[in-house]
Amino acid sequence: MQPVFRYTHVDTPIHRLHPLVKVTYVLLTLVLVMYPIKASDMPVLLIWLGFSAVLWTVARIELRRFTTLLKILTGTFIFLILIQGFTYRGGHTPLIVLGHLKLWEADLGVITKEGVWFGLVLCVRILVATSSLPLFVMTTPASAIMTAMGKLRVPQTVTFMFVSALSFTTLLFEMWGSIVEAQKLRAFDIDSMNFVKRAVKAYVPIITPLILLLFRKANDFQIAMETKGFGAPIEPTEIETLTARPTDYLWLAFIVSVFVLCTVLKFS
Amino acid sequence: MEEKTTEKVSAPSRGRIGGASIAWVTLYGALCGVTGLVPIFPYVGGGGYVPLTTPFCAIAPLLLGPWGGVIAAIVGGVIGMFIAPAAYPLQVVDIFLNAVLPALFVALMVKDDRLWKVTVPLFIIIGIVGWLVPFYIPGGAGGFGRVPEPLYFIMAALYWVPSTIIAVTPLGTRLIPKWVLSKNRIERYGGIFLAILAAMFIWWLPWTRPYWYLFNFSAELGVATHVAYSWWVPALSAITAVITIPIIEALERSGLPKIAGAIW
Repeated sequence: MQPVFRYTHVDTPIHRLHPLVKVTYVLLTLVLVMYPIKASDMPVLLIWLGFSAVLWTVARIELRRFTTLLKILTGTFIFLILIQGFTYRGGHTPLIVLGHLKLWEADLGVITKEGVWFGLVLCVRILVATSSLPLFVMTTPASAIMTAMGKLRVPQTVTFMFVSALSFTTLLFEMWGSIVEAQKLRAFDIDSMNFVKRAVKAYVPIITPLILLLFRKANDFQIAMETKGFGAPIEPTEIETLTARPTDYLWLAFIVSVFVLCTVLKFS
Repeated sequence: MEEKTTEKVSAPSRGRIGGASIAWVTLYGALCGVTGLVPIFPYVGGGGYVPLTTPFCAIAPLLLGPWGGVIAAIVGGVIGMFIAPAAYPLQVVDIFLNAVLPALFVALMVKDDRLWKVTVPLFIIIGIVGWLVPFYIPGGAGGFGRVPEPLYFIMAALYWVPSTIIAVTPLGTRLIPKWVLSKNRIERYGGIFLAILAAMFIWWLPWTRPYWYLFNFSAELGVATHVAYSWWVPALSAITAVITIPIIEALERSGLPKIAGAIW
């Protein structure tokens, strides 16, 4: 159990970009994918996907990361293409006829060309949605996120909790790994179980000691926090100071322009 | 000579969230986030898995109290989004769908003796909105087909009417909050299972609708999915309860400081 997408330190224009500009890109992606969709929206989605691909390339993110993303989404894509192929309302050109089974508006025995196309449009929509966040995660260090949250006037306690939790994830991976290995030594091998057996039997012997260990660590952490004066009414300092540079404004203008172009194309 | 401080330092209040210390909430949030990488249950129809995050967030109010649990779920959702971004295609929306809502609904059910005036109207609103979206709102204007009625209403009602009945009757307003704290094992297990079951049934409606909208579900698929998930939600609730009970028992024996509002 290890994260596929994590921050990698490379010196690229995207890594140097102000986190709030990247947050804007992520949010605009969300707005774009939430627009009502039509079968004719493929060019709009492909423009934004192409734009994201450019950002991935500029950020020098390896191709295998994108392949991993595709692998994760393959099941969803097959599901969408098949379901839309069989049930799309505007489908009238048969592509594959397996028989005829009318259910309300759909003929479940026929895969239509329009349905498969619409399924593909939905797949691109999902790909557009899922490609923005990995870019943000892989190019923005936790300290920069913390400072950006400060700029957005997020309360200090919230920022502290978020950054502490993020830094504790490595410890949790180690604890999880140790407990799984310890259980394997007792002939309890989670990896060899199917998902039903796992769901019913496997998690309890791993999760129970994990949570107990975790809460004991949390006790120590609480003492450390109090010792260091957590909650004292003083203004904390920042690990790094973020200032917006002219390049950030240029990138922001570029991102917003592509978004406006997509929106105009979509509704024209 | 007597010295007076000019400002009061209220560390205990700033260092706690509804009885749980910030450290506990943070670490449990981190755990919820990390478990976003562990698939536990496949979606009906394929295409993905529910991560272990969801049951973990659902039981957070039982372990950390209602406030601590919900905040831990928010932290877990945000961390999960950063660790497994591919599992959060709707970003901030998914934090609520996968993490916050299960915790919120379980917290409401466990405190239903005091909060039923909030819980019951909320469940009814969720039920009605869940029935209307997306096949009536946006409906035909958004490219969605016409669902067969009253079948669709009945199928949607399966997910909110039983939970609302549990929440409004003495089962929810008196017995479940009492049972989850009971020394009797059978009562306690029953209370935990029922609280999680009612919460997961109502959670299913807001959890599915944004994706139905995004995937442009057909009317036929909408009805079929309601049928298919009718066994899935109780199964997920049972698995969640099975995971919860040993944790609660282990925490009771651990000697760790108790948390106000938690059930151990």
